[in-house]
Amino acid sequence: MGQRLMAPRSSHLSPGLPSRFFAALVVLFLLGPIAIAGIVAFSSGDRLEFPIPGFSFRWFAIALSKPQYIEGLTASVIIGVGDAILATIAGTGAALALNHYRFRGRSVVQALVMLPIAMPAIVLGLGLLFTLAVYDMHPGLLAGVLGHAVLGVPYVVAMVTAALSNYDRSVERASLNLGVGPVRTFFKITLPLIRGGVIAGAVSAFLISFDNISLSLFITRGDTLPLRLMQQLLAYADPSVAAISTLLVLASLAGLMLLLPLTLRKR
Amino acid sequence: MAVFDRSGARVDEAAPELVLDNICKSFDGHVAVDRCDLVLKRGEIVALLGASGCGKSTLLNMIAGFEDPDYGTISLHGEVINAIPPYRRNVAMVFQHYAMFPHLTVADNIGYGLTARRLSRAEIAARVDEMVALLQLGGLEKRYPAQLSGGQRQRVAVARALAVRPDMLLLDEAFSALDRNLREDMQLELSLLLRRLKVTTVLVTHDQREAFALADRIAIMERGRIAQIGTPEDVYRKPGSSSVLRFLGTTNRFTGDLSDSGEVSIAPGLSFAAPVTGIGAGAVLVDIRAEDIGVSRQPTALHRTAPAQVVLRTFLGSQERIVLKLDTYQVVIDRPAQVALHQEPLAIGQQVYLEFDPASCRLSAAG
Amino acid sequence: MQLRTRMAPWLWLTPAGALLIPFFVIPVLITARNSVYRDDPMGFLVPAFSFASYARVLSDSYYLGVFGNTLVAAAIVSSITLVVAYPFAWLLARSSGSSRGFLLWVVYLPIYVSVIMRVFGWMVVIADSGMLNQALMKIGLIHHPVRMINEVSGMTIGMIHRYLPLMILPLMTSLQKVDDSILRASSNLGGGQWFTWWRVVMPISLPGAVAGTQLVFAGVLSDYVIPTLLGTTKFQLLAPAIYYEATTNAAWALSGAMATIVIVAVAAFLITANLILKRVAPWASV
Repeated sequence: MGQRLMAPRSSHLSPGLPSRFFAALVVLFLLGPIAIAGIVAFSSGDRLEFPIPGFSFRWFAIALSKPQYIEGLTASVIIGVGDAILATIAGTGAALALNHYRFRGRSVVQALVMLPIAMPAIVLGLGLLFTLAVYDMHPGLLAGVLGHAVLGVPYVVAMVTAALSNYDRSVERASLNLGVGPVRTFFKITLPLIRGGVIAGAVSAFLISFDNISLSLFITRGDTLPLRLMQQLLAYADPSVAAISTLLVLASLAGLMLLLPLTLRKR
Repeated sequence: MAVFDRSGARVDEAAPELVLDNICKSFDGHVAVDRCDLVLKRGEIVALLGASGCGKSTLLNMIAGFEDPDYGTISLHGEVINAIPPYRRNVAMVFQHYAMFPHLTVADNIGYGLTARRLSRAEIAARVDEMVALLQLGGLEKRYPAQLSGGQRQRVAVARALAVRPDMLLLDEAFSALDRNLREDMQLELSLLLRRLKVTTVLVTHDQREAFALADRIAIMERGRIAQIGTPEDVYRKPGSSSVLRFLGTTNRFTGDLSDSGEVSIAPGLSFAAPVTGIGAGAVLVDIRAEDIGVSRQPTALHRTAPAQVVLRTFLGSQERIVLKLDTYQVVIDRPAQVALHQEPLAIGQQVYLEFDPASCRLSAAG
Repeated sequence: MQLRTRMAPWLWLTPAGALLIPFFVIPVLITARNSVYRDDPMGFLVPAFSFASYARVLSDSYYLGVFGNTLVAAAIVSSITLVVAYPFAWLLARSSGSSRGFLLWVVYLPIYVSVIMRVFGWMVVIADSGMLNQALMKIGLIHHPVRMINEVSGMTIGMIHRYLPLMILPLMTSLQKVDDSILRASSNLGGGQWFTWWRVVMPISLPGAVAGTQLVFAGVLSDYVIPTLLGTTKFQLLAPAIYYEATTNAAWALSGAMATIVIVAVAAFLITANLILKRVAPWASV
């Protein structure tokens, strides 16, 4: 007795070769066009072609010298930062209210706060177009900030709620117990502890706004960068679009890598 | 009572139900299970007891079919089942955190294995009712696992496993998630239930109480090997080695000197004739249980001079625990509280002498 | 003190209220109101109660076509992304360590990169003289370039690429609830691979699939850039149509009617989906 058996079957729970192959295909599908766009940005040619004839930075120089791009970028950054701030304030307060208290109408408020994600942005855009006239406002930067903030609120609420569920409320009770009022407790205790969620929410709101087209169409005057780029692509598609997009990706990744150790270290 | 298996053939009750023969398993060069042999009779309850990493869970997973042995055979009713995938083996398992299906009600959880076996709706309903009554889950059938307490979930897990009328029941640390009182109640209840139903059971645990409460036989595992297997009493009273002794109960360890003449001296004034071992003269480790040592106010046969001092006395309910300072050692002594009741209480600082039967200690080579 | 604690949640909700009520709730209401006003041919909105816009939108074959096209596109994109996302989300849910980090990065990067850059990449790939056509001609599979850009096919591909991450993420969240011990329990009780998938994995992943579909639908209904850059005017979609009516034609009542129909449809979808989920998967909200 004690025979040696055949080589053991692979456990039926671990991923096999076909699923790995499939995953590789999906990765290729998702990343391929982005990589191609990135490569075309470095093309030395005059028009869109792939593979690129040669390597050059000229389209980056061209893109950076186009006033419509630079104006678009500035507008997008202003709108993005502005609405991220508004959405973060609104969303954090809402998340706290929903998480800490049981009150009548809670489920309605919860649905309302998350609704901007489910509602097609085109509807919101149209509605804001109509409403701006009522408030005696015009499409532009301010309208952009307000409209995009609405879009960003659900993301902030989701991230802050996640951070709140991971943290122990008894520290708040300890603070109140030691004589610190609720508002100061929030700023001294709660906020630092949920900082990660708040920052994640703010960054999400910024990114969502930065890339938004359907809403910006209605509430800005073609100011934002995506709108300017789209106009360019409709007129004449050239690598400058890819160049400026690639530049943004690289710049923001670099920024992220610089910021990340900062947010982690302070703990 | 005649017993028949699923195919209708008459089963020899005395024949082994489960046979593990020379089972070996390694992961990445690390040996998890090392030449283990085990034979279970029908209706027996065997515990695999050991610290984490001793290989007990791996062995259980191999019986269930979640891992394949590198060597060796697993046989059920005399039939080798190594090649049979887990969903065709009739060995039901109760998982450590119960693995409840969160999207099914209690009734559907219990009936799950039966739907896999294509029983009719009526039969499933009848069997589920039977299990609900058996495990006292009445009124909870329509609840979801998230709405149950830990103890209720455990009952559902047991009901779900027993519902398929398995050839064997496997328990994987099934009580570790419960708190102490509930654990003891459930162990008692399950023990009675399993014996009544005559279900052959293998349970894996690191908790000696659990093993002692449930098992007919206990297999102590360390480093992938079965160090000793026997009834709870055998394993406890006659530990085969120092490590088995230390694993069960509270032990004191002394370093001593074994002379050529067979005398062991542990501390000045404390020496005795060593039990026969194969160990040569020199430094030795002496292990002895806390409840095997007694105290006396007068010098004893093995403790003649240099008495110990009482440092601490604790009342533990059914027992009294005394801690002594002897030479460089802290000696722990447990004795039934009733004994202490009939004597004058020991005061802190009191000088006492140890007494014990040399046969109750175990020696091992030091270093 | 009683009053204070009663008021507390509402105090925290003030900033959100100040933002959402005037800039979300009111716009939706005004859209509905405008839809029942009348469009003056000079391009003004006349505050006279009239269902003319609805009548036009619901009877004119052009507008019905727009709705139909968009729903069809949304259905196709949802189904394809669901089928593709499912195994990927499963893999992702069960991966750990560096491979998990890598896969998550692959899913998040497209969302992070501008949609314009993604569309640009597709333009390079599927143009008549683009990468795909060139490769296929080189191999000899085709002799003339296949028209994909500015066609429904190109638009669909672009949308699938855009919304795939949105389907993967909620599915992954759901599938994470299926851990190894549950799979083993199912196997242990007699369930083979298919049985386990059908009875355990699929039901648990259902809420994630519904959430993903909601997101994809909302996306397709709102998508302006992909139909405009990759699609064709022969297959009109909702977002460009609404924009056209509202700005170029200044037909506020008409575009309002279209938008209101969308709001009602989305609301109906959300409510029915939630009701169905509550019945089919009551455990998800327990």
